[in-house]
Amino acid sequence: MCKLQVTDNELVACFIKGEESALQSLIIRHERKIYTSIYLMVKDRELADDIFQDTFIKVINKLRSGNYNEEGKFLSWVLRIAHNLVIDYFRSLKRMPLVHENEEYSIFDNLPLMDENIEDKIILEQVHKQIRQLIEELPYDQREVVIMRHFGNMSFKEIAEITNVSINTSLGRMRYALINLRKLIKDNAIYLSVS
Amino acid sequence: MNESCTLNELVLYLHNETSLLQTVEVQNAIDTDEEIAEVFDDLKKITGYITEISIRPAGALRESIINYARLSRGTK
Repeated sequence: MCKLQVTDNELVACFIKGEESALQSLIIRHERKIYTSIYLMVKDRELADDIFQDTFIKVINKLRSGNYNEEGKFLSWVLRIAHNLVIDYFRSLKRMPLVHENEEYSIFDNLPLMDENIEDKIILEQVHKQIRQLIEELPYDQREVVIMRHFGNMSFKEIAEITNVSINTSLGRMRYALINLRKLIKDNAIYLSVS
Repeated sequence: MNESCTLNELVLYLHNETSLLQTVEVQNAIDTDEEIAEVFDDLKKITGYITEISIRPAGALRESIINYARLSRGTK
């Protein structure tokens, strides 16, 4: 019997041996990061649901066919599968958002103002919602790097390899994303109380 | 932002990806330059929030994945 508090690789091994509960543990452990990553890329809950399921169907099939040798990088591996499915989806629609850093984009006027007199918890939820909206409005290239770095725990080198760009480009995209977010937060007087 | 610390270096430092030498240089820039310190503080807060905004998928999604795993066992 496999225990719950084990490494990802141990759970993967348990699942391959036939224990479905190990897969359940892996999903519970990582579902928030994986689902949020997909959602922030596609910006649609129903589509995110579909891609989340398709991602794990691929994960299951790849694990059973012996196509997993990531050694401690299960989450990154799953996020790469999810990322490829998102790319496939946009390609199928022929509407891959190709917005680049140097282009002007109008995300600065798309934010509701915050009521300063509501309770702390509600304020925090509002801030989370606003930050999520701001990330959703970032150009795809920048959003992708933010997602892979912060939800996939991938290094800039790994992100560069997956997205077929140089490390400097992936680092630059993160820089643009963070600076854009900083400007938007200041412009819209969003108060970030947690450091 | 002065020449002793570029924004790229600050972003790398924020994500713990600087070399030892870069780490010392960036930390020194933060300690001695108010503008850099302010930018770093803001970016640190923003990245702190990014990881807090995650969404949990519906439980039914997990169930359907587990069901697929059960039903497809032995068919691959």
